[in-house]
Formats: sequence, structure tokens, C-alpha cells
Amino acid sequence: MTGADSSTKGVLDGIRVLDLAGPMGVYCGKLWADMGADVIKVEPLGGDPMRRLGPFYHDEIHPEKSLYFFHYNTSKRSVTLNLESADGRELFKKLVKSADIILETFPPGYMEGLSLGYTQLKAINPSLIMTSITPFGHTGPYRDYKSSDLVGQALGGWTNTVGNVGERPTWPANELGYHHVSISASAGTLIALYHRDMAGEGQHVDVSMHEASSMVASSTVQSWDVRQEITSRRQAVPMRGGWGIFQCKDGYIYSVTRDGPPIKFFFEWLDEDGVEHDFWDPRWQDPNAVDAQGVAFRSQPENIEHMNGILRPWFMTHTKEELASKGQDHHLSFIPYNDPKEIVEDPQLEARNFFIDIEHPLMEDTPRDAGAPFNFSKTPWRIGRRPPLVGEHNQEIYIGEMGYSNEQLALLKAAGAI
Amino acid sequence: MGKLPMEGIRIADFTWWLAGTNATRILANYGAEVIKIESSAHMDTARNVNPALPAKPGTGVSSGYNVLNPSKLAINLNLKHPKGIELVKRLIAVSDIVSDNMSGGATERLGLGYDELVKIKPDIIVINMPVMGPGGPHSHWTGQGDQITAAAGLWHMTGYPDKLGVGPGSVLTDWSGVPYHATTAMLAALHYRNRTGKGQHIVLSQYEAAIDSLGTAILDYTVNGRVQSRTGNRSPYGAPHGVYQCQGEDRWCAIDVSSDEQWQGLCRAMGDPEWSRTGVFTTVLGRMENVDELDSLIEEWTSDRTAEDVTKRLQGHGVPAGTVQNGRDLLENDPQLKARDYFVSLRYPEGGEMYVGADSFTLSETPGRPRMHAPLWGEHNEHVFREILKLSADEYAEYELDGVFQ
Repeated sequence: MTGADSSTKGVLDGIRVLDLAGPMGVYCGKLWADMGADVIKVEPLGGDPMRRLGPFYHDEIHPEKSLYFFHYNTSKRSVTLNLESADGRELFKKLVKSADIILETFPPGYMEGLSLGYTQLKAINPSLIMTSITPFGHTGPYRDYKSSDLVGQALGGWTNTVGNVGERPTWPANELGYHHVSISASAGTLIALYHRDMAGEGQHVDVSMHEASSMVASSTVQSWDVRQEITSRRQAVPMRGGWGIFQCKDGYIYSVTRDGPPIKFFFEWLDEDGVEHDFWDPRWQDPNAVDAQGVAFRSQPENIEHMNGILRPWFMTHTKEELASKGQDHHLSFIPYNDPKEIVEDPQLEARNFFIDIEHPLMEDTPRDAGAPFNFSKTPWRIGRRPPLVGEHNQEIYIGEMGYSNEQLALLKAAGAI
Repeated sequence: MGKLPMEGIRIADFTWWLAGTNATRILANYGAEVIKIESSAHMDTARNVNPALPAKPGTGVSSGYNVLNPSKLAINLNLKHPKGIELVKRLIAVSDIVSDNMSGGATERLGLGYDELVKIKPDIIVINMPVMGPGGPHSHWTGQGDQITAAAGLWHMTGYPDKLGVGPGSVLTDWSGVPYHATTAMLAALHYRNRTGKGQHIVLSQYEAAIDSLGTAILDYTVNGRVQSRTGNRSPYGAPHGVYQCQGEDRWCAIDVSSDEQWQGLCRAMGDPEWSRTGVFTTVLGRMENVDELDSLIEEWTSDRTAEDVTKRLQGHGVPAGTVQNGRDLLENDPQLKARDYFVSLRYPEGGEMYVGADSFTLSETPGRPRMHAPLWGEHNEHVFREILKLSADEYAEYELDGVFQ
């Protein structure tokens, strides 16, 4: 393993989490597990349904080879447990006694229906924190509406901002809705943990994906609030000439050309390359050279087109690396637009040891995944263990830590509880 | 309202613009005393340089700034003045967290790097949020949220296969990856400090935190050599999965069918049209193979109904569906956000009023919400310097005259 030492204790060492989350909340449990919490994944018999989600290792469809499961379940342990059997519920309640946090994404009312709602569990463990991530929250008229990543981002106002002007709204892909609500839930839960540290009191954290998406769409709400204007898709509208995504020799570069020294350097660079242009006309650099509508010279549509018409062929003469290196050295902010391959090959990430190799007994080629989203000087982020096999820690937890006997475990298995 | 959970935590906040100020917003709403440190040489740009979102009358500063800074305090401190540096160090000595999002060691150059700050406050928690992270050939790079999402592959992943990626909208790192990861990190460090008495240094590279939202794309490349790419509104797991035109201008409804049961529900909601009950569309394989035709048949049905009507009907049959809402829908017409009291109206000293969202989590015992307008320029100078740092009236006047509060 590179980039992190799995033997170090993380910042959340000593915190135990029972993780019952599906895709909507699974990243939240990963965040905590990689920070050192003892996150026990409670899987239904036969394994978590997300083990069926692709892509798969070498495209072999197998419950232990889902890369989806792999990515989101590092550093966790796994037990199997059937919450819908009486014995399973008793076992779960015993686990709850030792837990600090329960993380779940069941539809509102499901846990209550099993007598495992927050009020019932709090009676067993008064300082318990229970975090419920649902599409709309546990209250309100949409509480029982069905949702998904696509639908959540649409209703939350996020999707309407994505796409080209005049075209169909576009799904912010990659399950960003699930991802965003997961990190939001993490922030909310750790506020509850801080409160518990100080006051000893547990609580229920009711997290709504709808509200999380609405948060991302804040600027559209402000546009309505401030100007009674509906802003929708404006991704491709450049703010100024030389600003936005340009194709270059080997891909695309995102160019942000601020007034002052950066834009001046940019024009000098064009001179150096022998590009014919009229940009030394002082109006191109003067934010106060505005038209009757108050629009600066470089932001007027015909001038944007004029400038970009000269710049497009110039960008094609340079590679991303040339543009970004030289530009950034002179405060001209060029940043490459990358695909996953280019990210894996990025020398910056290499130098920072960002990627991490995680060995797995069923995978001969060691998977390399994204590393820490942030890091701590005293309690480094680390992959504590590879993602677990289905029920890999049944013995360790049920017998070793909870004191069940082998015979009892066999009985529970036969009864369909584990 | 009872005591807020983060009361007693003080943050000396050097963040500016979007991503960083958004990170301290969350803890401020839950009771932390977040003190924005600005100077005329380094004003939070968001205050007035945001042409897309001008000031709402009577609030004094840009709407973008207002959304990101409720519940905080703001002071002016000239960090080029020796007394300014002295005062900021005194403030840090009575703070729990110091935060900034400047790139390339800017705080170190001011003599306010972590190694210096532990000398002033041994258990201080410091969080730096540079664009690329310290070390490595690109540590000095600067950039804004949209550029970082493009670097992190999120533009490549969003949009249609035959066109350039469009990006995930709304400056995603600023609204998601940076603030909520940073809040997670600060709270984890506070928990660790509660347990051990030790502070520490947190570094969040905005680029790396954004890559963490790429899901399986990194693994799929390193393990399978596959470069994942954008698929428009379609999913590999079922159809229909898309955004369909409805009655009215720029009105759409998202529909996501991922099981046979949901497909049956969709057919019933549409009144069981002939095409849906026979032939290719009855199986998921058939629907995926004929997805273009499927999408246009569904759009035929949605296009003479309102998005709200489509949503209601489909939800009535257990099908995940929802209007593609815009800012007006969210603020004025969303019964769910209303019922949960999501929007908070903040009043400004100049008489204006503005709506901001609470947050996506509701804590049953210690709920926090935006509770005060975003601070005006230097609004809390007197409070912070007199009450917290205990400057006498004479000292305060003298410092002011001396240009320390600029």
C-alpha cells in the first residue's frame, strides 16, 4: 500500500458506526472509516445489493468484484444480519449498545416499523446518534415520494443549471447527488458528535437529499429573490473574451484571464508567438471601458467573438502542459480539463502520493484508487483495510467481541438471522 | 432557541470568495463564532465583485456574499501593519480554529503558518484549502471552482457523448466538495482535540477533494483500462432515465425507471398506451435497445402536461419522478421545502431582506440555522477588538487613527 500507513490510528479512532446505508449514503461511511472510525457494514443476507453494481474487476460479474462496492467500502468491516427476523433484530439491538452512530438510508418509517426507530434505539443507548439520509427528509408532504440521484437533483434545482443554453437540462452525472448528500450528512453528524462530546446527549440527524441539492442550486434562488429572474443553463456563455474552455493541441484547457498583470502577460505571450492582434488597444484591459448598458469592453458579445476568433487557433498551437505551466508561472490561470486517465497520470498527484494501492485476495492486479480528500498532520488519513467480503467479520464481531458461541452462531445462521 | 452545539468555538477566518467562506458558513450557523478577517488590501472579493448576483436593495453587499456568510462576524485588520499582525496573533491565541483557502503558502508568508501558530496557541487547529495542495510541481497554481471541477474530470463526465462536457453546474467544488469535506475535517479534528487535548494541521487540496467525487472512474481506469465518459441523461441500469419536456417554456420532468415494478407503474400512469404493453418495450433489454424511440414516446406523453402534473401522476404510481425545478419553484412553490422551513429570511441593517437556505440536515436536539445577516464591512470591529481582545477605548482610537483597522 502506498500513500498511507494502515497501522496508524485515524482521527475518529474509537468511534463505532453501524453502516446500513445504500448508495445514497455510502460515501459518508467511507469518509469516517478512512478517518479511523470502526465502521461495521451491516449487510442483508447474501450481501449488500450494491455488490451487484458495476463496473466489475476485469468485467467479471461477481459480488466480491464490484468496483462500486470496492470504492465506497474501504476500511469497513462487514457482518451479515437480517433486520427482518426477530433474532436478527435482537442481535442488532445488542450491536447498538456498543455503537456511537447509526447511518441508514431506508425509506422513512421502515426502521420504526421494525421497532428500530430512533426513539426505540435511544432507549437502549441514550447517547446514540442516528443519521437518516432520505430523498426528502422524515417529514413533509414529499416524505414518501420515490426518488433517485437523477430525480433528486432535478427537484432540488441543480439539474436546471446544467447543460448548454437552449438545450435540454443535463443530469450532473456520477451520482453527484448521492455524493453531495453523503458529505453533507457527514458534516451534520459530526456536529452532533461534537455536541455529544460536550453534553453527553445523542440525537437524530434527519438529512434530506432534496435540501442538499437545493443548497447547490443557491445561486438560482438568489437570482429569483434579487431580480425575479430565472437563471437556468448558462454553462457555455463566456463572461469575457479569452475566458472559458478552449481546445488546444492535445485536449482542452480552462482559461481564466483576469484583468491586470495576467491579461497583460497573455498579450505579451501572443506577441512572442507572432500572433497578429489588436489587443494593445487599452480598452481590452480597462474594466471601466463600458458600453451604455454598463458592460465592459471585453465582455461585449461581438468583442468576445473577435477575441476568441484570434485565440482559438493560437490555443491549438500549444499543449495543455505548456499552457498551464507558463501561464500559471505568470498568474495567468490556465488549468487542464482532464479525463480519468489524465488524472491518474497527473504529475502533481503523483508527487503528492495521492493515489493508493489496495490489495484484495480475489484481484490479482492491485486496484489503485483515489486517496485522501483532506489530511491531518497528527492522525493521517489511511485505508485501514481493504473492502470486506460478505460477512467477513461475523466470527470476529459476533463471537470475538459480543461473546456468542459457535453453536449460537450456527443456530442464528440456520434461523436466517445472519 | 436553546444553546447551539458549536457555541464556544471561535474561528479566525481568513477564507474569501466562495469555497472557503462556504466551509465556515456551516459551523457559523450552528453557533461557532466565526470572525472574518479582511483588510482593504484583501477584501472578500465576493462582497462586490460578482456581476451575476448584484446586491439586493438594502443589504449593502452582493447576494453571493450574503448567501455564503450568514451568522458570521467581520473585522478589518491591516496585516501589513505590525500592530495588525500583533492583534491577529492575539485573536488566534483565543481561537480554536484558523482557516484559509489561499494557494501557494500565502499564510506562511504573513508569518501565520501552522508552525508559527502553534507557538501562540499549542492546541490550535489550522485548516488550509489551497487549489492544488502543498508540494508537487503545481502547488502554486491558482484557479476557481469551475476550473477545478474541470481538472477533476467532472466536466468530462457530465454532458452528451458527441459534444464537449458541460460540467456539473453551480461551481460544484465551491458548493459541495470543499465546504462539506472541510467541515467534516474541522469537526473530526475538534473531536480528536476533545479526546486528546491536541490540535493539528489539516490540508485540503480542492483538486483532490473534487476527484473524490468521481466515483468508480479512477478504479475503472486503473483496473480495467476503461476511460469512463459522459452519457447524457442516460443510465447503464435501465430506461427510461432522463429529463422530458413538459408544457410551458423550459419546463421538464425527470423520470427514472429502474425496475419492472416501476415500469408497470409508468405504463398505468400513462393510461396503458398500446405501445407500452406490446413488443419491445416490455423488457429492460428491449427498452435499453430502443431507448431513442422510448424517450420520444414518453416525451409525446409528457409534452402536453405540466411537469407538476407528470410528477404527481407518476409518484402516485410509485415511479421516481420530479419536476426540473428552477429558482422560483424552489423559493415560492415547493411544498416540501415550505413544510420543512428550509428558507430563512435574513434582515439587514439597511432594511433589506434576503432568503438563504438552511442546510440539508436537521438535528433533533440542537438544530442550527442561519440566524444573522452576513456581516457588513468591519461591522464587528468594536465588538471583537474591545470585548474579545480587551483593547481600551484609548487604544482602540489610537489603533484606528494609526490605520490598523483598514
